[in-house]
Amino acid sequence: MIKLSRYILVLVGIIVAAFAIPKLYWTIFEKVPVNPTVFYSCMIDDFIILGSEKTGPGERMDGQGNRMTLAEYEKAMPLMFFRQLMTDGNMPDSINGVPMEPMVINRANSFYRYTPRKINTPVPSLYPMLESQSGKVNLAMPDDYFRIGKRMEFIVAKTNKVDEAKSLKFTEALENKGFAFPARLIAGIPTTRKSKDEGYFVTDSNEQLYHIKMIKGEPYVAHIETPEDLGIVFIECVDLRNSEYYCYLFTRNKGIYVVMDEVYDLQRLPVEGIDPFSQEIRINGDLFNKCITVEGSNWLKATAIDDMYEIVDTHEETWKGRYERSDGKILSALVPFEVSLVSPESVFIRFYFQKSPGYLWIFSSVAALLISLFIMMRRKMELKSNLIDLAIVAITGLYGLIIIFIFPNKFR
Amino acid sequence: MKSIFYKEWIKIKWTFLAFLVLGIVGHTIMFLKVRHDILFVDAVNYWYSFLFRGYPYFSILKFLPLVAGLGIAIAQYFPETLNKRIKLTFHLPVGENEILLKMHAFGASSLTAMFVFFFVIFVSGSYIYFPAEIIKPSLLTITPWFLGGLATYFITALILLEPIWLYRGLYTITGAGFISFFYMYGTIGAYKPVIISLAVLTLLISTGVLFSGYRFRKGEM
Amino acid sequence: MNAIECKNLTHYYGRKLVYENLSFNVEEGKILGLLGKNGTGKSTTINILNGFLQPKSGECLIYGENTQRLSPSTKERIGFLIEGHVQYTFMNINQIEKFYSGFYPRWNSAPYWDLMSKLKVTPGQKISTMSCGQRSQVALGLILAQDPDLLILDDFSMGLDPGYRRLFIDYLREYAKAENKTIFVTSHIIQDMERLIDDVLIMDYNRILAQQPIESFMKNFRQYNIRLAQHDTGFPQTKLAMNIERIKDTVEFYTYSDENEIKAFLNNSGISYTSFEEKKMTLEDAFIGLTSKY
Repeated sequence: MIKLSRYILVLVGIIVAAFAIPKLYWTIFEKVPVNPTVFYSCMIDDFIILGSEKTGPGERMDGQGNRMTLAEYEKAMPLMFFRQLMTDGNMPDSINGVPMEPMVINRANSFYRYTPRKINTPVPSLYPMLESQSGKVNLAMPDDYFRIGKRMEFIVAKTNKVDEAKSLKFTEALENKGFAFPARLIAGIPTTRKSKDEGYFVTDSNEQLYHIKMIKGEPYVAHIETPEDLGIVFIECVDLRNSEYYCYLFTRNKGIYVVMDEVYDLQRLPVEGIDPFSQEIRINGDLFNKCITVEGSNWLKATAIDDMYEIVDTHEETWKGRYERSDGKILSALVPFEVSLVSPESVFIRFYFQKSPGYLWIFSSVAALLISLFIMMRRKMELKSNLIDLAIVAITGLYGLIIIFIFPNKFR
Repeated sequence: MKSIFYKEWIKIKWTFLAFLVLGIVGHTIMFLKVRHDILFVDAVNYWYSFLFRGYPYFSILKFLPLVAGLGIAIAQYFPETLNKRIKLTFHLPVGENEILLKMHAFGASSLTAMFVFFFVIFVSGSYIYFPAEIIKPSLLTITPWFLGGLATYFITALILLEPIWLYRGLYTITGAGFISFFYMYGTIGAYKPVIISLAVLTLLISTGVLFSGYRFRKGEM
Repeated sequence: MNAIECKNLTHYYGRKLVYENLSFNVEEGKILGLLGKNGTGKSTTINILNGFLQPKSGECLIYGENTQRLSPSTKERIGFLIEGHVQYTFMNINQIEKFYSGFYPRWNSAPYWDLMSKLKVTPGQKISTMSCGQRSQVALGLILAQDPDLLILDDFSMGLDPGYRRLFIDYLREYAKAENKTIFVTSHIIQDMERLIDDVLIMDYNRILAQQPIESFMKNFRQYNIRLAQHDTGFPQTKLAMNIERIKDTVEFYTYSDENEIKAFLNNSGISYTSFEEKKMTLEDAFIGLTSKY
């Protein structure tokens, strides 16, 4: 029983060591990671990469690898820097036959960034349904919040009680369109700081997609046709100035779709292998092109498309991942694994276990084993009763070496 | 055995009541503030900051369980370490492990009872103002704090019983590292996936006191 | 039947040897006193007997059980007084009696309350607020109420008034003999021991100096005071002497040998003396004589 209590303490001690030692190490030694950003230039018909591994942070190059100065960069991205260029008098009058009007340019610019933290996160499950057409210039928060469980319910915040009439009204509207309760995903833009309110996009328990709004107090429900086996795993709504589409859909078939404004057509973006649980995605749009960048931990792939969603060009970058750099290599040689409670890819707190890549850690584990043997022999400890401890050091390396002596094995 | 609980209760009685009162006061302040803020910013906006900005209304409770665990462990085990009085306990005609576990179980049960009581107050009060969609994530967020309080109790007892100062220091460092797992910075509901693991680890570490007790008995100098 | 049996106890503190191969027995119904200067291993022995120390080698058995693993039923028969009359001071005399009584089926609170009535304390008074002497009475009272077969008393006389000590020793001896109790006792105050014990065990650094019934010890261990004829005579070493203390021309000669043997030795060594007398010793005298003054 007491031996068991010691092993429990050893286990917990090892978890703490595997958490604390790498944390300390990274705090002291971590190098700033390479984090490139990619744009597409309609002027040079090529990509512009900022902060690539080749050029270093803060420097720019084109898709062929040629360095660009700040001035060249601004000139190559007139739609992004139109204000600066217009001030300097360097703005072209038209591009591709389209006259350069600031309002038109501005309307077409969009920046969207997706990180896995958006999907790996607790979900609120109560949402405010704003009035879509109040006739007022500014949007207003409603008095209630809705949830979609066995039915759609509105709870008045002040009283914390259900508004039965309203709930009934909306539930019926959903039922009439064949909504299968409860809802799986609910996505919208729950703030008044947007140009217009488009309600919420909701999937039901059969993964059918619906659009729900409140117009003049009455429910608006539209069922959106989606292909069989689309498998929507994540929806994010956007407030585009040009209202091109409502939202992005991330799907189990590794794609990204947009739901077109008003007509609800689904348009698949021409990118493959999308995994919203581990990849970062940026979509920068301007008047002529969109640049879709899909990013992993040490690679990115950029795809430039035109306004017909056809691929114009692609570009790939790679850089040294954490464990290919010297700081990561050293740690992965010192310890067999790392434990963390947080992850950059998730908002959730849980035990994240990272085995050290490569095989260099085997040497330090063996060294730890030898050191333990040496210490045990010097202290004239009986090796036979310490076999389990030695096995622990063999598996956990440096951590075991420290912990088995912090909780000494002095059983006779 | 009734006698053991009798003695342990004498030791922790006042500390227990003090923390009970502290907790009740804390909860009262919390709910009074909730009531006030809802009135002033409007319920809709108050719910909004919870749901979409992740502002909790219960931060005042965060370290209460930790301090309670610490306090009760000290009240229970510090008198045993003075003049090595725990020798008296080990000399009683009961198995040493058995008696230590019973003392421990008493302290842990009292603490747990206190925490359950706080949970009840928390849920009852929150129920007045908030729907399940706010209460459930809130409970998920405060549960690790209370588990941390129990873990603190177990670890503090283990540290107090350890006879050698060097190891006391080492256990304090290791223990602090472990307790930090319960109080990491995270948004509301972020702890959801790990609560069961933490609960299991807390339960397991309750046996740690047997290790120090054994080291004490074997005359570690 | 031996209540206590210790065989070949050897212990070190770090590299320092405390003692090696110490063996002794305490028969049931006997009272053994352990005497020794500070640091000679008294506390070590007590700790081993109570299972709070594991000796480097050797073992102690109490009622046949190894002291490292005493069963609850055996522990019930052992009454233990910790050095300094250590007790749970956060309780008062009622609470502490109530606490301990729950563990011992044979608990007889009469002797305890008898002692408590002699204390001038208020009912709710915590032990922490009592004087040293009062606390000892509580500790002793609890042991008597427990009615153990074996009493292990570590320095029981500390903090007690001389009058009370005398009373307690007489009470303890009578109680032990009447009920056939076994007692293992250590104390700094040697004259108390003299009235109490049957057997004596005298320890010195690293060794046992004497281990025998006190009667025979007091009969056989003698002190002879010899006044030398000349001041500057060297005094030879001899195995006959357990210890020799010399101040100028007076020699205190401590030995198990009789007068004739010593006189013969002196004559053979050519030592002339002006007076030779045997000094009657108390146990304390004998103890200091055996272990030397410092």
